[in-house]
Amino acid sequence: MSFSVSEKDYLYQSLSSKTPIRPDGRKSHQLRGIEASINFLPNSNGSSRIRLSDGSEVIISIKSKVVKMSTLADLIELDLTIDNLRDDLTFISDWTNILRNSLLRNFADKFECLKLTTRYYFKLYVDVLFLSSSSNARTTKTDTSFLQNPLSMISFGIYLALKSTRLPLLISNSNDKDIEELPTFNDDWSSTVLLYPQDEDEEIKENNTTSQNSSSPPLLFVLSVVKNNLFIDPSIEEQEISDCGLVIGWCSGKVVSPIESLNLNQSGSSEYIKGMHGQNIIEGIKMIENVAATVSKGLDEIVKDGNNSVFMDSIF
Amino acid sequence: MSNKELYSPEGLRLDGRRWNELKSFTCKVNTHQTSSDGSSYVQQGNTKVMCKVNGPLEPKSKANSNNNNASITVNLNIASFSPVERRKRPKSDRRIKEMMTILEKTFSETVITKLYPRTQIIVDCYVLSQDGGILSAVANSVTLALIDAGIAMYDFVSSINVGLYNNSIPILDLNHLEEGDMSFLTLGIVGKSEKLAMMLLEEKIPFDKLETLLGIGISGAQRIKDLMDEELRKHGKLLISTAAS
Repeated sequence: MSFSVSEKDYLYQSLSSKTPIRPDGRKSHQLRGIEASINFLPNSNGSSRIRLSDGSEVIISIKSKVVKMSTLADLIELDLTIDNLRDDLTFISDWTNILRNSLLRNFADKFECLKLTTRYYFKLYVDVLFLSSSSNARTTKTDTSFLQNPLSMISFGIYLALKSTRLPLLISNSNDKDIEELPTFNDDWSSTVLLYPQDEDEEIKENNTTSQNSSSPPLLFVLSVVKNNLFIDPSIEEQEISDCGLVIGWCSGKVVSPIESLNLNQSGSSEYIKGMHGQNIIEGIKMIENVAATVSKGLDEIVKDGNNSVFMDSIF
Repeated sequence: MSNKELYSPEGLRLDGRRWNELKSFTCKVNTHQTSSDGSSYVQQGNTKVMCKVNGPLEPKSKANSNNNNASITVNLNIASFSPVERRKRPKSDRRIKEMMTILEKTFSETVITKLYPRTQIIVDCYVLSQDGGILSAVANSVTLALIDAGIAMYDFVSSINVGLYNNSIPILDLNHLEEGDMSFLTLGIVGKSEKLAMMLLEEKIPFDKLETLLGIGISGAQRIKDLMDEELRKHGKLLISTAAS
């Protein structure tokens, strides 16, 4: 987004004042509204789509594949595609790493669910397709100045997609230490197992006495820092003039890593990149602690609706 | 694949259709109001395609600028999760390039490009799920999105594929299993006419069978055109009624 100096100055003034006013009138801890749906890709184990009112959209598919055991870190592969941009750009691999690491670190007890036998595991492919709202404003294929930071939106999408993921039920013997055999599965889709069982499901609750029910995929929140003020889920205008960005993870009721600073200003005009005060991080964490539970509850409602209804044929 | 019976003696295909039956066809227009000038979503069976049109706008580079006509750029993005077995294709994949060129050529002929000199029309297509007939689904979605963008066209381009089973039985609107096992023809028809705007043959077919295949394809494509027309009129009525109230 290219703003004039006076526009930027106006935005900066209004956001850095003691009682900040955001351009869209939101409170500083208020997120933008999303439109979400799940389970619409027939060829995937789980899928989700999130749209924002500014027209940006993220489509996520989770696919599984049976692999021979190697290392646990290899069991999740994340692939991020943004519009028609080349996928070897630095910030795309940066974002991929942040998302993948946050998934791997907070997946601990779920690796057990991916385990099939002593030799075989499910490998999850998380494919993210992000369509920005401003792809037509871009001048070249490598111009990224119009791109807003999609991390928070993508992590919401991955949350929904993982919670809607169903894996086939193993019918062959799960112990193949002595005799090697290829795993076979029940080919009935209605007997598949949810990767993240729903809490309401009494049957599953009885079977899993461990803490599996309470665990959920990680969420990432992007905060924009303007002087001493913090703004959750900054819009592209706010990103443009923020001193610094902060990404904070949240999983199963507590703030988790990554807690990283990042550059929200993709257009690269350095005059607004200033860094932040240590106090901001603490305030940011406090803000996320207050907000995140509500967000995950809201997302869970979407999952509940989607998983209980029949397969969505169309997303429109 | 050969152990599967693609066409039973009773005349039924793997998914229960007869030889001349289409996959269930649904389409929507104006699905991405904020991020594009025209957009559409087409679903043919399990093939799902999204299309966004931006333009006519000022060309991004001089190379795309033509003093007499609009230039049409088609970007085709086949998601790595769209096939049954996950497969990531590089951007430079020859099959994708081929399809993009075919689409660009077809729509440069169908859009009245002389009305928009020195402009560029950018078409972005996203294949979310594939079950045969990608090219025809994409072509249909581009038609709808261009119409939604209000870009002047001579007529619809409606597209369908036809295969030849056992060198004797023509089969309409193949799914991915059938596509893997027989040679087929993808064709695009202009409006209600029998004029071909687009044609792509995979593998080979005997010359004397071509006419039968074309005939069946044309009637299939005309049916698709009717379905798209119906949806567009429904959308138009909705627009008028919301504008009036």
